[in-house]
Amino acid sequence: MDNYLEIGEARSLHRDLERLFAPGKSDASTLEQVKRLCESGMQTIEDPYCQGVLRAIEQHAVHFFAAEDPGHPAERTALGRVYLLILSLLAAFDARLEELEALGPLAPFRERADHGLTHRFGAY
Amino acid sequence: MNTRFLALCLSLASLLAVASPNAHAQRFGDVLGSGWSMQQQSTPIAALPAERAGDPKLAGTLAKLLPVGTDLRAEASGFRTLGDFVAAAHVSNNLAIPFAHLKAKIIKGDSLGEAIQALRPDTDAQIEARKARAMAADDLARV
Repeated sequence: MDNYLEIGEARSLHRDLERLFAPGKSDASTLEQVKRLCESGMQTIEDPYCQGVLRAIEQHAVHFFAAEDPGHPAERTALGRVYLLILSLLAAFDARLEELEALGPLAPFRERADHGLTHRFGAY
Repeated sequence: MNTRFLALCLSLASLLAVASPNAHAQRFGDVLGSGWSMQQQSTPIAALPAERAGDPKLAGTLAKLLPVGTDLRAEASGFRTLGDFVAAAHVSNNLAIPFAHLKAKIIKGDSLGEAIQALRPDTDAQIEARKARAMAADDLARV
């Protein structure tokens, strides 16, 4: 994350995702909205942990919102676990944003150094 | 030596008597009813042990989902499994559907998804049923 503005955008994205996964809020377009938000978040949020969480949410959402309801109880159970996992990922995303916010505006640069993210400029 | 062996045998026998197969089967059946298993539980809710149906933790969770003063055992009657009942309670709360309407549909033979589709056609019934079942399984896993 480059600054607080970006954290603000990430928080907004988190709220939108939470709304889409909240009980009672699903319709036919939900999966497309989730995919769009996750893709957009992965492009704009530079924190690798957040990117990983968004990627995982998108992948699990594709499975969770699958059109066919599985007939076998075990598969229905697995889908239930996927939903709980998505909720946990959203909580992890929120916790990471709090962590970045608490570290301050320069934190992202320290974080990147900690993560060894030199892919943009190559290794020195 | 013989006396000690006899005493050991008696102890083992008493342990087995306490942990009878029926007790194990009942507890295992409760877990099956939570929806986390390969098989569906066929034990009617009325046959569940009283301590299970009246579990304070579960009652506390359900009290938040159903109107104040709801008789949980009475409302649970007619559901095939405890998991089905808790999932229906979640749907009722999530989608603001009166529990009695939902229960009437399910007892008539509708699946949870079909009941939601009939009562709230504006939502994705299948997805809402999945969410409710997941939440119910989570509740039952905590009990």
